[in-house]
Amino acid sequence: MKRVLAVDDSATLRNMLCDCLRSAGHQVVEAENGQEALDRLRSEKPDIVITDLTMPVMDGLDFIAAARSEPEGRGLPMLLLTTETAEHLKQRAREIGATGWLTKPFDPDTILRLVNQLA
Amino acid sequence: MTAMDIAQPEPAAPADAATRQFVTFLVGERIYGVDIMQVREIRQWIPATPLPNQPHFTRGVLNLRGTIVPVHDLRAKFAGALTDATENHVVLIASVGGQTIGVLVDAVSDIISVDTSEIRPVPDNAGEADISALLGLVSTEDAMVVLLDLATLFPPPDRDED
Amino acid sequence: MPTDEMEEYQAIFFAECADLLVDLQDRFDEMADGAVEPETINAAFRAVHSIKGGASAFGFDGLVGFAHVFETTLDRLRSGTLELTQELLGLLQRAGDIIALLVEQARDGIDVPQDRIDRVLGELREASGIEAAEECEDAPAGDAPAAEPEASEAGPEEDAAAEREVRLRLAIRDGFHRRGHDLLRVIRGLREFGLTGVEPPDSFPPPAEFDLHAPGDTWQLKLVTALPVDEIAAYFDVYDGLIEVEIDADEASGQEPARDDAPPASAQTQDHPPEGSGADGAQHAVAPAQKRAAPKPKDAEAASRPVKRSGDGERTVKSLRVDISRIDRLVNLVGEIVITQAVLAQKLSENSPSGDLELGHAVENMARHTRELQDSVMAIRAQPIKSVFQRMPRLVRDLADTLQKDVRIQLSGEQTEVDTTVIEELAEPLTHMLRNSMDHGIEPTAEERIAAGKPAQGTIHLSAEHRGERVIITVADDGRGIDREKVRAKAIERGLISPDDNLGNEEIDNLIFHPGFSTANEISSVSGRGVGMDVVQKKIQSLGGRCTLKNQPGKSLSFEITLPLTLAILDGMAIGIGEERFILPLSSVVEAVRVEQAQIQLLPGGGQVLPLRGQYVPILSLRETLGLKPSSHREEMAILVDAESNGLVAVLVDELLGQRQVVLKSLEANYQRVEGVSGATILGDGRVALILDIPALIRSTRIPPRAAGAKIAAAGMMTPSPSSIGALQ
Repeated sequence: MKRVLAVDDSATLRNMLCDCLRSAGHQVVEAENGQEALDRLRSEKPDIVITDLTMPVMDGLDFIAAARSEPEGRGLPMLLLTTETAEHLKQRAREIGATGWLTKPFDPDTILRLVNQLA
Repeated sequence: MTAMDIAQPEPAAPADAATRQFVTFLVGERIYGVDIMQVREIRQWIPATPLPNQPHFTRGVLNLRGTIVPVHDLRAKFAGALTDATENHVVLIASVGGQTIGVLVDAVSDIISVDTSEIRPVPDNAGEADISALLGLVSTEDAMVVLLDLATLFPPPDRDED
Repeated sequence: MPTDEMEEYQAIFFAECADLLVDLQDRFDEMADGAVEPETINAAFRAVHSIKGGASAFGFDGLVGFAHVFETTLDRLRSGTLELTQELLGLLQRAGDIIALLVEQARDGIDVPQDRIDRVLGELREASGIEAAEECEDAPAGDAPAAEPEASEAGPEEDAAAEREVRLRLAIRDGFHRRGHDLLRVIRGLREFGLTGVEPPDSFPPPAEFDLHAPGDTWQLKLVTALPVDEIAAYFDVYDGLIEVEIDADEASGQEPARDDAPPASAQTQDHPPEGSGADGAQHAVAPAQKRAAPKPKDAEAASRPVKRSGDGERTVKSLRVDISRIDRLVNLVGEIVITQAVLAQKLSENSPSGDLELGHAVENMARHTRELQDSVMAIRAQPIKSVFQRMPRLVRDLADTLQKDVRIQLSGEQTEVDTTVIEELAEPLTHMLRNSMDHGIEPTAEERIAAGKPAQGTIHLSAEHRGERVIITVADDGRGIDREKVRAKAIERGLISPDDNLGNEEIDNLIFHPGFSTANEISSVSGRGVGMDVVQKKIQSLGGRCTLKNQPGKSLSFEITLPLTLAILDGMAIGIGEERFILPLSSVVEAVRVEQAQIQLLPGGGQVLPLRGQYVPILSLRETLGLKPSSHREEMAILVDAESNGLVAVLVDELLGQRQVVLKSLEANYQRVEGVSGATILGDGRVALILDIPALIRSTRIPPRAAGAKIAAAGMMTPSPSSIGALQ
């Protein structure tokens, strides 16, 4: 059982992700944007983060960058789950310390496997 | 199977395919029947709330556990004269085309099972006004029962007109 | 995933799309108002982006493809590559319309003409300079990004092939830790691959200085597995090259029992890392052998099982999406409670000694709470009228395109809250009215407008406001209004009026609401096919509302719709006529006065009027109009009712029973619409009382315009008509 922080401004995708994770026995904490995710990160101490890239208030990249400078975010696997595929974004993601890059639509098996392996 | 067999009445057919049950009731001297599948319940008459500008046989509306149900006077529908309704009269609550309606009659008499083959067509010259609403006639031990099609008798409004 | 679950997700997605589309429209409106702030563009981008994300999850490829180009255009606008011009904004709005259509297509399967999509797509590409090739490369589907792990085949599977020892050499590269990885977890994960031995780097430091993540050091691991090498290698794909892996599988030694020397190695290494990594220490009590017996695909199966979402208190609830049917059920139940409460109160007052103060208080409290409960429940259903207004600009743009007219729409009062029941029913009549304004109201050419001293661009103003317990919606255009001569001629031609009829302006204008007026209309692609203003009026009336118009020929035409705020409850005035009880909507009641028969004055022609403070108010006797039996009761009260376009009318009743809030019940559910009655309610004693619609009652007794007079006279009823009231006042 892992504690997963799922960040997406779309309730649809968040719900799908949550259902997928919860049905595999994981605990899920949700956040709608990077700012909220940062708060959750501090209070909930998740084992792994799966975040959308494009979100209001604070996007996924800024969130990961910010999280990496927090004690709770150091060493924490943080995956981006996005429809974006542009190489420059991926490069930027690597630079700021994103653990991995997944493209939507996500495959439940992959997500669960990564949560198990990385967290 | 030969052609002869087909012409025979079907002996093995399940009973419900060949028989129908009707709730019979009285209006004056006449006995009417309505398919039991359409009948929801039977209630004692209480004065209905009249509606303006409606056909004379529509007595008004009733409160049926929170929903508003129209009540039609069967005597008035057929003979033109309003029933002088008392608390001895009953209202048949029926389901017709997705709507619930009430039909004011004198008394409910029985539930009869009728073999569909026993239902006789209504003669054209029977003198009834609304012959299209009559499913047919059937004879019981004591009398003739006029089987009604409530959907034709009290058609639901044409929704498209709205 | 099971279909019903999929449908549930889709339903959420579409609900979300609706919000996003509204949001998108808002952003464009802001841009149109000159707000070209980065955040505005950003928000528009995000809206489209979110739609794309959801759509891709459900495989709505058309929507994804369009959203992608749309989004790219917005992205370029955001980055400053593109400049926001009027043309671009117009294009973005049209693109917004298309994406809305594509959402509808995905949801309802409506047909969206491909050429329209292609046209806008082409314009977007041209505007933003997207090359078709670039788009393909960039498109989400089919692209397997470097860091994306291969999905299916990576997990270990039960295999008939023989197990053998596989040696791994792992070297961590720079950035491994910074990007959230942890070697411990890497190793732990390998237990599922039959990990039997772990050997730390040669330069293994003492625990205090232990740095697992120092790059360059090589860890050696041993697995006993039957998995092919490439599957083991796939495990490391996730690490995006941050772990250098060498895999050395001694295929020949496959049968050799490699386990003998494994346990010591395993035990040894498993003791070390936890000490070193501190916080992580607690997580390692997993038995490798058992773990291995559970193959991964089971997890995937579990993933698709519907799971009841736990109310684990982790969610911050700002707003909640609730199935409307649940709220409807609540509303119905509260309605029943209101009635039951009324019954209870009545029975108690009949049966208990009047001196029982406590009981009286309890009943009062309950009445108050019931009412509050009802208000609260109704408030849940209230929503800004925006959700329906929002669809109208798109309609106007579409029609402007079709009709080749330059028209803009202005919205105001979008935040006006109305019950959901009303909102849902509004779209249709509003659409008809806008079509009417676009087609018949706004002049066909800009030249004609300019010649009339108007701006070339036509304007339609759609507004909403609260007025008492009702909401007023106005559709006003600055077109040419109703040409009364033409309307009159057409009505004569249709046989609606005779050439001798001397009609007032208002009566002529109102002819457009006549069912016979527009059904035979020449079919126009816009407002044709027999959809006339009569349909609108009928619809509005069926909602308990009213539709009136103000015509200024040559200048403007405005329609005003008056609607109740809710179709579920009503503040009413209970009145008695003989044994019958009726409810008049309180909003239309002006005052009640006691009348003496002697005060009533007869007009030649059978009409009656009541002199009141120097005015003569036409009288409507409910007993006569409703065809009620004469009784010994006297019509002693006159309720002055604002009959809207009919002005003030004195409604004669026997008694006034007081104000009360009633739950509206439909007559149409089991019967049909009854002219002059907007619904019914159930009184405290269980009896049904009709809710009267006085203006409609007046209308139902007046048949415009000819022949009616004679009929009314024959029926012996007083029926005020607009002109007669006008004359009286």
